Amino acid sequence: MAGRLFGTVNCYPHDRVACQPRLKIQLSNFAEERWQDATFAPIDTGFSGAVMLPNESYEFFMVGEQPRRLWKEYRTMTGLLQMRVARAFVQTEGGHMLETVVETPLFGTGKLLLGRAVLNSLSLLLDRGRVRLKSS
Amino acid sequence: MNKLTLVIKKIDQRTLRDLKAEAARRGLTLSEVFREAVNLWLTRRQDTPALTETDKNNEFYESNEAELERQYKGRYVLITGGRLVGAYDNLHAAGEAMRTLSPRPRQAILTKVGKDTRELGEWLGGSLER
Repeated sequence: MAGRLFGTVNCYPHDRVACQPRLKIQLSNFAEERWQDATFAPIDTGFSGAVMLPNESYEFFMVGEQPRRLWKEYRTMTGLLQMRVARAFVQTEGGHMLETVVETPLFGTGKLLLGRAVLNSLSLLLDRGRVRLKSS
Repeated sequence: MNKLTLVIKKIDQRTLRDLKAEAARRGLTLSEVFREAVNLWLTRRQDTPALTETDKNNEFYESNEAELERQYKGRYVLITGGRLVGAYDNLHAAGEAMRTLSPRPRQAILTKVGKDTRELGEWLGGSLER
């Protein structure tokens, strides 16, 4: 947005192997219990959801799972992909805890990804091999 | 290990024919196929206790959906052990209820009745490759 001033909260270098932009996040289940330490989640603007997790990580969030008939489906290049969906909270450095959902494929292993449903609530700058998290 | 002879009644003819053909293609005897199938089934059973809990909770939700909507529209309901634990005005209160549950369930349903909907999203190429 033109005319806004931003301060940098922190800078995160891209993943060296995959050359992928990533952001440090802290996830909690809906009971506000933290899922391990803060983690670096790869940013994926091609994923319209919030947070995707590998199957084994998702188990921690299953205490707040949505009913099966509300589980989300994704259009992918190879067809529809059925997910399991659970309520959770996500927090970035210096930010508030935001209500979100975490997902994992019903069939398949899944992976850690941060999608547009979370990214759209943040101010981020891709800056030559780094992600700058901004506060306004 | 003692090896016993087992008679299986009422097996579908077509299933048996397909099984024999597949076993022959793989160079296995029927008893080897049976042993492999039993081991696979037992392993899956051990790995899926949470799925059973998921099924039980979803069964409760699906058979009581209309009633939940009538009574608790707009509130969070928490279902575990195949029963309704409670309805809450906000997520924080539902979280407090979960923290007090003992024994702690591995799976529970939490939904905002009448507000949560099934959505269709998209996941484009990039991250699928890595």
